[in-house]
Amino acid sequence: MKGKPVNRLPEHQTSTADATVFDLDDQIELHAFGQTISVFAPKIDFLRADSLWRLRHIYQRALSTQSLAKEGVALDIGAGFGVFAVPFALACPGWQIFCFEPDPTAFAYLQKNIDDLALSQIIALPFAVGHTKEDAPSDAKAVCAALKRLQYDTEAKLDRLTALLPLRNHSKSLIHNGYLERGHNTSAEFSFVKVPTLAAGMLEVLSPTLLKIIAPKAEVEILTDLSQSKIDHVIGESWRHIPTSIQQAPSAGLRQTWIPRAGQSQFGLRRSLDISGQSSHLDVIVAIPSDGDVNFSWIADLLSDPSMEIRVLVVGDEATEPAKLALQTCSRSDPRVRFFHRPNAGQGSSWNFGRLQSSATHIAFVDAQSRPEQSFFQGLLELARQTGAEVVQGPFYGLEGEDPFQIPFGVRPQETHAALKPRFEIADTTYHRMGNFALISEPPTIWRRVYRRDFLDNRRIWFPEHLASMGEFVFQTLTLSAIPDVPTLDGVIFGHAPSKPAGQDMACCIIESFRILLNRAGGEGWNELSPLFQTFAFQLNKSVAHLDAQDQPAFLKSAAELWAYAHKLFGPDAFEQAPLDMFGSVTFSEHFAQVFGKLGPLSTSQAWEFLSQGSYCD
Amino acid sequence: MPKITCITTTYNEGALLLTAVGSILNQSYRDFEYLIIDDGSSQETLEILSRLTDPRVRVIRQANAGLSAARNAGLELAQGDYICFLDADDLRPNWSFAAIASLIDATQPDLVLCPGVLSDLRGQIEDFYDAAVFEQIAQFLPEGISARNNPKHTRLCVMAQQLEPQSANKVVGRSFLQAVGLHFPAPYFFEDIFFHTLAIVQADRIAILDCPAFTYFRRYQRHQITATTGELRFDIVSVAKLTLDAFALRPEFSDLAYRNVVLASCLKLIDWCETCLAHPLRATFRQNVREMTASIDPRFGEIQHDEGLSPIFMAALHRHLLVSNDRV
Repeated sequence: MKGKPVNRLPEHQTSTADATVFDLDDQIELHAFGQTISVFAPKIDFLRADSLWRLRHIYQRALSTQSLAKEGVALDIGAGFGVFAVPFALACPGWQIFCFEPDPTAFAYLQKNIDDLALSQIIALPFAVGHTKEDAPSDAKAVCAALKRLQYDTEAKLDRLTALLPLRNHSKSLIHNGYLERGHNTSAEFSFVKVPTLAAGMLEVLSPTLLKIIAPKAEVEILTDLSQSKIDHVIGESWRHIPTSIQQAPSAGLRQTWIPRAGQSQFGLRRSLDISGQSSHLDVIVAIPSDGDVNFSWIADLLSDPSMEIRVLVVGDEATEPAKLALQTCSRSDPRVRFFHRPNAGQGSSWNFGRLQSSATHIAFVDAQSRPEQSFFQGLLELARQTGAEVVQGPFYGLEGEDPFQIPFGVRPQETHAALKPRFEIADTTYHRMGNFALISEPPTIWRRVYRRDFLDNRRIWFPEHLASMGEFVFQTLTLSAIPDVPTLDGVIFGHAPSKPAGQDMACCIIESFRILLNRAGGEGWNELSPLFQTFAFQLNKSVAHLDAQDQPAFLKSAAELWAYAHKLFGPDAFEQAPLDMFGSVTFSEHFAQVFGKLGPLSTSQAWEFLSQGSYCD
Repeated sequence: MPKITCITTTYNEGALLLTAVGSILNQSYRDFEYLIIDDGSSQETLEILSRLTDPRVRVIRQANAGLSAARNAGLELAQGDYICFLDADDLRPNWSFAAIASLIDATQPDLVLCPGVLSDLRGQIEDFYDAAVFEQIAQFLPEGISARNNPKHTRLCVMAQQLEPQSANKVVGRSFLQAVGLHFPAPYFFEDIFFHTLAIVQADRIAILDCPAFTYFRRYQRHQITATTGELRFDIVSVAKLTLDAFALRPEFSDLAYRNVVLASCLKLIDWCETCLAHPLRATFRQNVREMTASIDPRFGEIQHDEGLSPIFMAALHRHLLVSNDRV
């Protein structure tokens, strides 16, 4: 049996459509949104498989996570043969759906499916959708009026609307039949076609509340044009980077979004319903020291982009020279900069205080030794939003020499251990994923990272304010222990001057920081403890070498006591990768044996109690 | 009487609750009632509940008695022919009731099992954890419905037992529930394995839905019971004991593969709870587990090396039965 489509194609496509005959073998079964239906589909394996995959893995999943209103208007850009629109229309009878499909063959199948299933709420239009800037029709008013008329009069003449639209260059794949991208792709894989193109901005007249978009290489322009529309649901797939700033307009609807990047399912535009009340931006919290040489010119650089995406919270003692310098550098009249007066506060205390003042979804903590490149934090915020990761970071290198703030041009950091990691595209650079455990064992570099505020709050991660040093180490270990990996941006870098040499209280801070971490590891049920133990041994051995001989025994005994509590609490299996000879100290070993022996008859919970009590810095 | 009753229990979810409520009230299928059992929430949640004016919503308040007790209160009050559950921080897509009602009309089951979607901590959207088991079931039972007299039925139950014991993935006939007297094991948390096991084994007709009917959200914005590291996790040992004892009384207990999978599904949860537990509590937890496994029917200790059991289930069986091997 054969069927022929109802021909509603405009004149320029008539010949192709007339040639389209439908064989019942062309039907495939769709299972989605609670519907099981047979639809006609072009007999092209790639196209069918690709469409069905997207239906199941993107559209259905994404709409399963969102609560749809009973009524609405959906735009289906790149509708194909109706793989999304047809089951969606059956599942959501209160919705009107505008389908845009410029490929004549796919459009003929789409129209056939609509007609066969009598889906009067779908209006199929044989157009590409483009950018208002480039594709604005000469008579925009007439196009808007024609579009509006379609909402109420499905018999409205398409030819008239088509005649109003400009023809624009598109490239049709000769290998993946059904793939059409914006522009003139000169590769031999593509043939060149001109199709009537509707500027996306015109679609606002339809008051859409759902956008499904498959428009290779035109995604950014379409979403930009619709960035002010009150759209609650945005789904699709993208073939190039879509900046998240497109989705940030305050009046642009709920914008629950799921548009993964083709071939990179862990990356893409994402946004779920926000219940936190936090503002979607990054607060960079700058802790100002009370003395020392500082340079805050980077703050002005950071704010040279006029967007409200990045703001700065400066925390310090207003009366000090560094604070005055910071305030001179970043004008007080800029609403993106706020200063908080905190006399005699340590760095960790200032960062905690700044965080409490912040209402942002993302936070970074930097200090007076920082020198991020201009676009460093913009890049990290974008990476954080596109991956949803709790922590993201960029590369860094140490600033040394007489002028610690002079970035040596041409020098770029080499993260050798990450050199072989696969790279993924983001905007005009790349990123890779670094395992958390590799980073835990490195010296703390918390200032080159951006953190999700809800993650820090949920995991109760703060800077320990009673530690004169090692606070960054505690913070780094707590954050990295709670996540699987850290997306790491390539390209832009963060300069950081080495910290001042440790003071005399460094030894007790090391012991205290590990007490805090072991206590947290016990109470929170950490299961991978080796990185923590290895770092403990590394820090201990390094510190012993810097201590005066008379201070060493007390330090080693305190460390051995902690080690014994940890052995009792976590059990021998946890220490397979952390044998006692890591420490290379007889004093340590002897004292460990002595304390561990005393703990013998006690329970593990008593060992944890010891770790929970008091501070080694008191 | 409505076709479907949906039960949501609340405890201080605040504004998050509106996601679940909105998703139910926006269902394209309209023949349902929505019971919200508030388990002693504070003012913010109560104010949100007081603003719900849809006539299909009934809000019932009780003093805090725990999740199982709240769900049981809902079961007592439900009037729908079929009952389902939705946690207050989760969501049902708006086609789910229509799809479920259509399947019910076509198959008249005691129990419908539904796939779901997971929105993870990074906002990544994936199929729910047990998608692979649903795939296996679809291959094994393409007709999507099985009655007890079906030769495939026991095998289906063995597969279904390996699904995540989630309350949102089940729609249960009210008359069936009343007939078998099934409820949640109050006052315990980690209660789902009991309801899951006994619903599957006692249902005469089981239907499988072929589209997602719920989304489970993992969030940083709210503390979830499944993230606790405290003594609440000891409840799983008690719930496992209740589950295994109840299953041992069933005729299906004589089926070695079925017996294995019920034990394995309990042990898998126990293992997961142990890895989430604070270290100071682990020794006591393990002792409790040993005492529990020593107290169950010794025939649970016989293992059939069945290829149908997934490696994680098999590993759980071996790990625990080696510990108590001397008793087997």
